[in-house]
Amino acid sequence: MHRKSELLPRQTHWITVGILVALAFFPCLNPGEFLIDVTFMLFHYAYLALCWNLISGFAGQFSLGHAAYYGVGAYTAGVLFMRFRLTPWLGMLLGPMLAAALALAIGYPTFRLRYHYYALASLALAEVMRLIFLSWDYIGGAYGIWYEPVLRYSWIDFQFTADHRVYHYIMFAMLCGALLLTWKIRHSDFGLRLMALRDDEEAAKSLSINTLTNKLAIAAISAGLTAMAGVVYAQFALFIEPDSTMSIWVTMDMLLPAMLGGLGITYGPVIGAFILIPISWALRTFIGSTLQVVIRGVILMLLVAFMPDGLLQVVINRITRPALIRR
Amino acid sequence: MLIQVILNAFFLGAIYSLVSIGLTLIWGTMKIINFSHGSLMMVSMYISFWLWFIIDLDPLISIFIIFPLMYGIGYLFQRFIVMPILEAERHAQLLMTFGLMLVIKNTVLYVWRADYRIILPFYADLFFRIGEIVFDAPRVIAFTAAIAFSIGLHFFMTKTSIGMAIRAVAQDSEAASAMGINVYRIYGITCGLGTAFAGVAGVLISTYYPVHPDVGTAFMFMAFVIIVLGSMGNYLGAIVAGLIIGVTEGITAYLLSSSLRQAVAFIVFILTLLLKPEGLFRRVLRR
Repeated sequence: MHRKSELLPRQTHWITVGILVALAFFPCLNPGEFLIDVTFMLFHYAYLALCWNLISGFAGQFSLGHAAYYGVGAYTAGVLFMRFRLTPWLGMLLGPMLAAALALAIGYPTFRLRYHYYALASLALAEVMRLIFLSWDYIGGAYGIWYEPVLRYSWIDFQFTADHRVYHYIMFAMLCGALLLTWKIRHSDFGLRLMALRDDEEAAKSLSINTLTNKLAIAAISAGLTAMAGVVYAQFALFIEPDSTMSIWVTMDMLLPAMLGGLGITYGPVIGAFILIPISWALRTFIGSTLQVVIRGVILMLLVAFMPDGLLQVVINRITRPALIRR
Repeated sequence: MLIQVILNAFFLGAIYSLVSIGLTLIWGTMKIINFSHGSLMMVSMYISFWLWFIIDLDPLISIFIIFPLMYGIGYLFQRFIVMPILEAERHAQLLMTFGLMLVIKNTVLYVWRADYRIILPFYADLFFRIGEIVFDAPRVIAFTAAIAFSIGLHFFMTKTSIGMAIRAVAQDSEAASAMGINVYRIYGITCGLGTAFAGVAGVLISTYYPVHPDVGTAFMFMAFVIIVLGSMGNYLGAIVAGLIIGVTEGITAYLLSSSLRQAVAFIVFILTLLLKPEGLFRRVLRR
């Protein structure tokens, strides 16, 4: 049951930091708007995978509905801006709070029960919200929310269509923040409690760890952070609709990189996202989105069956002495 | 009008029961949540459609082809998908069947597109009425058949040795194994049976419900709610809860809005978990 993130060699830390810094200063090369958007989306997915990993990887509470929190963030910002002309920064504050409240609302009944109830409830939550939002005319229904007017460069309204580098840097800052937070949690008492309850809930309880409170706390944190990405995405795309923000695929985009990178490894999801997201873009371009999803499903099944600890762990086992790492 | 709605919802509820029986049986013995259950049901709806479309085989007859076919699929599913991860970490089972659901659903979507397909059996337009209330032939037939299958399952589970072995494994697989029951064989049979029931539900509903790739998802969500409400692992509970949820859904669609059906089911789900997490019919099958 033990995951071995502490046994990762130092070099991998520096490789990760190196890749991140290289991508962060990428816009200085003037690569053009398209490539800047690409790095923005990479950061965005890496960030989401990190958020998902917080609850699923460290606390072992598998969420199949993180798309719900993402959608709540995106829609809070969108509705506040389009209906009330309020700044998306308010959405950035309110969205995470709503998402956290939602996570607590489904976490409270399910975290006391066996682990699969949270997975069921979160999956159902995302799907139900998607269906409700699809038929809710006040917030655009299936048509979604189109931002109007589109502003060229405004910090107050969080729109930078004239200069996409700003999105890039904001997302990078958020990614670094999430990484730092993950690292902090990983090495705090709180993180130790989470990993203890993940590995053996009964044993954790016997050490007088309040498992419910700890799970709720990490669920709220994870949901809130996910919602923040939703806000930024809404401001970046300037168009949101239920299917692109709340469907199962959004959750898949968080889950798969985290699984590939390695559950419960601090920066595993980042590496996973950097590998997987470009592949899924390429697949989408060449074989279409439906078959692409089929292939992602197959990848997920193969990962679960043959590489449950993630790619990173396999690579590291190869590099370092295997005898030390084996369970 | 309300009575008509409740009646049709009740008929649909019997189909829900049938889907949920499969899910709850699989959970009961193997402690696995099968996310691909709804997709397998959808596949059987497509088989039923193509059998009707190509060789003009009535769905009620094709049941006798589809039941063994889906049993075989379920058996293979257990053998090749579930078995390798039975001892793995618990999330492996969730993600495995979740991945399978995505694969099945999108393969079907790719092959047959998102078109709605409708089966029109010769009795599609038949109905009879008692007073104001209309009884559609397809609904009545599907309901009757669903109830017949449920009763049949109950006899199978209580009267045959395999049925009793399934219940024994569900209660305590180690003790059952000690009594000489081949637990893995029972796993296979249960999985086959559960999938076959999803298949039958798919065939029956295909007589009056459009066939399309997304249909499994909706039924799967309802089945989750139902098996929790009816106590996970308890197939009798699933039958009753299926009827309850069916009627609840029908009334919601009539009084509020059809788009809130899933939302109300979800609220029922959360309330169940809050107030009575062991479900309404906790009985023989403990965890």
